[in-house]
Amino acid sequence: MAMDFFESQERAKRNTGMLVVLFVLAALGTVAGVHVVLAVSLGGGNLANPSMLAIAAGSVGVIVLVGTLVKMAQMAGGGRAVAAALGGRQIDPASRDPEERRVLNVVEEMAIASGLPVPPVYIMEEDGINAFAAGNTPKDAVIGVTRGCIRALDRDELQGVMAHEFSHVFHQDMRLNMRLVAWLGGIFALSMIGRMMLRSVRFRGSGKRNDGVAVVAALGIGLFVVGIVGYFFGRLIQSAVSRQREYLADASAVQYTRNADGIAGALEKIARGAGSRLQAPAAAEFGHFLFADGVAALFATHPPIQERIARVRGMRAGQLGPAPSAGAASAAAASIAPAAGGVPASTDVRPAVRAARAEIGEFGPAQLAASHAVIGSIPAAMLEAAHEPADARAVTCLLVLSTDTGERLRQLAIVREHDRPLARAVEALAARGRPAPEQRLPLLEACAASLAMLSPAQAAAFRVILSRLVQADGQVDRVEWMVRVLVRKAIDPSPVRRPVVRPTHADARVAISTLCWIGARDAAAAASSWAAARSTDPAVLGPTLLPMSECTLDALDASLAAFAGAGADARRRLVDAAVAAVTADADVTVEEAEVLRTMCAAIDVPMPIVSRGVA
Amino acid sequence: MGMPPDVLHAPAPVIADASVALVAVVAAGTLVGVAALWLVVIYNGLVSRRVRVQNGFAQIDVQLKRRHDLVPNLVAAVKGAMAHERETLEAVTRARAAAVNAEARAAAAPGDAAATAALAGAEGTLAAALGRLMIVMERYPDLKANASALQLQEELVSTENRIAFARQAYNDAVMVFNTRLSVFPDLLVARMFSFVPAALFETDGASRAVPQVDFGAGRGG
Repeated sequence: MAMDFFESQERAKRNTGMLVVLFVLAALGTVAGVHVVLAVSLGGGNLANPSMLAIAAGSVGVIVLVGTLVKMAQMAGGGRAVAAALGGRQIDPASRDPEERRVLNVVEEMAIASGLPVPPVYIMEEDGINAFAAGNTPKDAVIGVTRGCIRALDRDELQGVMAHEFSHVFHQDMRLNMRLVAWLGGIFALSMIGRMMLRSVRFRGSGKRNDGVAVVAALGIGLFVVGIVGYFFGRLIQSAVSRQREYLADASAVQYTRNADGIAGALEKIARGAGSRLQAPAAAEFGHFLFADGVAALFATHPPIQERIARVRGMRAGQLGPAPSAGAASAAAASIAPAAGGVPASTDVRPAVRAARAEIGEFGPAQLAASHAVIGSIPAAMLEAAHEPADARAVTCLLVLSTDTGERLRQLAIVREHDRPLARAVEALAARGRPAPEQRLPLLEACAASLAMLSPAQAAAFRVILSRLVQADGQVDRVEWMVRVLVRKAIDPSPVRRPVVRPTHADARVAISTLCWIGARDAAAAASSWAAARSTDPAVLGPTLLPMSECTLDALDASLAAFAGAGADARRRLVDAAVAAVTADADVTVEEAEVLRTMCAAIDVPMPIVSRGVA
Repeated sequence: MGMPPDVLHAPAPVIADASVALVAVVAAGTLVGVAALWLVVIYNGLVSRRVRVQNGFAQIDVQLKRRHDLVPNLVAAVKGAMAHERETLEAVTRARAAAVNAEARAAAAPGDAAATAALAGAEGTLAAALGRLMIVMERYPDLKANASALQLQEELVSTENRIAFARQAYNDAVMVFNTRLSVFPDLLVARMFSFVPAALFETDGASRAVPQVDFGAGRGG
């Protein structure tokens, strides 16, 4: 059941391919249907009439294509479009409403545990217990919950539901769902057009028996009937696909949380009468996005709730199989390395890093515990600031402040020159102390979600300040690089669709060499890390380690940009080589883990948090 | 009027004109489709920008609520020391109550012109009342040693900064949305689906004066 993140991406593509085939078959069936309708009604039963077939194919093709395009244009809005259609309102990351705070915390904890960007959370003011995940890719995913869901469920149950939704994100179900909606829209357009044609014929009156009218009317009826039938079968396919994904998501939720009671409790509350119905008119159309059935439908998009409960309850009896995180889970027990920089020499976190690699998209309770612990260790004022769009800027600035007093004063002067209140907020935060090294990345991830709410003008102004701060001392260090990568991802002005670039060996060589040098005490250590990385896949890297002087962070940015647009396989090989390089020597520092995770974030691979157990 | 009952049983030769019908159907379909696609794209753009306006308002709302929560605490913290300033304190309390009301109404209809203007006015009054309170506070040396009063004041000031920041984001979103509503192809779609322009959140000078009051640098003491 445990499936590699990259495999599930590939499989999602294959599934999509299969759906394309089914869809084309459905379209061909529809063409045949229209042809038969025409032949019987107009051609006196003569099925071998090529021009009639051409009419059928032409009209069906155009209508389905345009219908699908229209729906796809709607879906291009991503998860936010789905949330808006379902009547959702984004919960402000800084919300102080205790109910909203709880769901935000659960989502943030899980995102940081799994390495996914913290998704925006939408709330639907409905009493039924329901939730959804939507988006075209994990990075534009949004999570939605109903008010009833937050009210009726306790924290464990809410966590179970959120884990279920995260499974949909990781397993690329969302993309499949978006496509399904688009294609069904295309087929449904047939019956809509059919109805419109019939109506137009009717309005033209019955007086003149025009041949054209006859053709239009026949086509109208044909399209209407065939469209309905096509939609019927489309819904059958949709509900079959959807039900399987729901079982997988339930199972994953148990795996992520190791707590069957959470999700089972939520399902039982729905079954016991709280219900999962939604009032939003779009609930039927987006039914397969939801946690539980949103409407009473002929074709349930979800398996029977008692069956889901039984399966989830059954997993506790050990059907889960060998847990990939078992080793890490027992070792970790939520303990975080001491706040002082670096890791005690006695702690060997290599297994934890390798476990994190194994759990990309399949994180477990060890990561959840680590994430919970590290978030809990961040001072409340700092975390609160990270949740405010205005103050998240201050936290970000704080992370790139130099430890050198003179340099720091110069940096603060730069901020003051641009934005006085911001400088004041940075100073207030700095007076409370600096975040510990292992708190940096989680803090930054929390900030990224708030920074995404800046208006374009504010984001542009902040980018200027930040780049001046980073460049203040004439060089970019690791932390500055990390901040730059993650902030850029959060507030990129125009997420330009990159052309599909094939990353070269040179790109892989730069990325891995940089990682080797970052963790190494000397050239020999770097060389041995390189050898370890090369052993994972000699084909992916060039023969020799790049000299340190050529491993600039700018070069690293360029190479990661190439990988970001690459397929799952290329990214998997890079991540494997990177993990090997980092774990080649016994001391995996916080800095190495940080760079590894930032690299993964840059290429859209959700690398789970490294839980630092006591060895 | 129903359709003619025998329309489906028209004679077979109709099919001779099939190629003409095919061209007509495909052309009409394409036209309708392109128009629909265009409509959907514009409509989506408008909706997503309206959602941004609403999110922008929610950001202001969070900070206004925080200010409303801080005010009674500040009043309670200084009440003992400022027994003779009952009027000033009452003005603050009244202004807060009015602002809380205005906030609830505006939150129910983000971007609504009347509600937003009323809210901006009420918040301006509250900010002015707070500004007077802080000036008066400087006359009480006892308060300068009162840690909780100082802390609350600092929080009010930083909340004020956040409100200004959130207001800027909201106004940016409103400008983009309103511009879209008034340019050519979009304006047709906007009329069709009765989109209304959102109102800017504008305050008078009064509220901006508050953060400038520096308690520590006051005269005397």
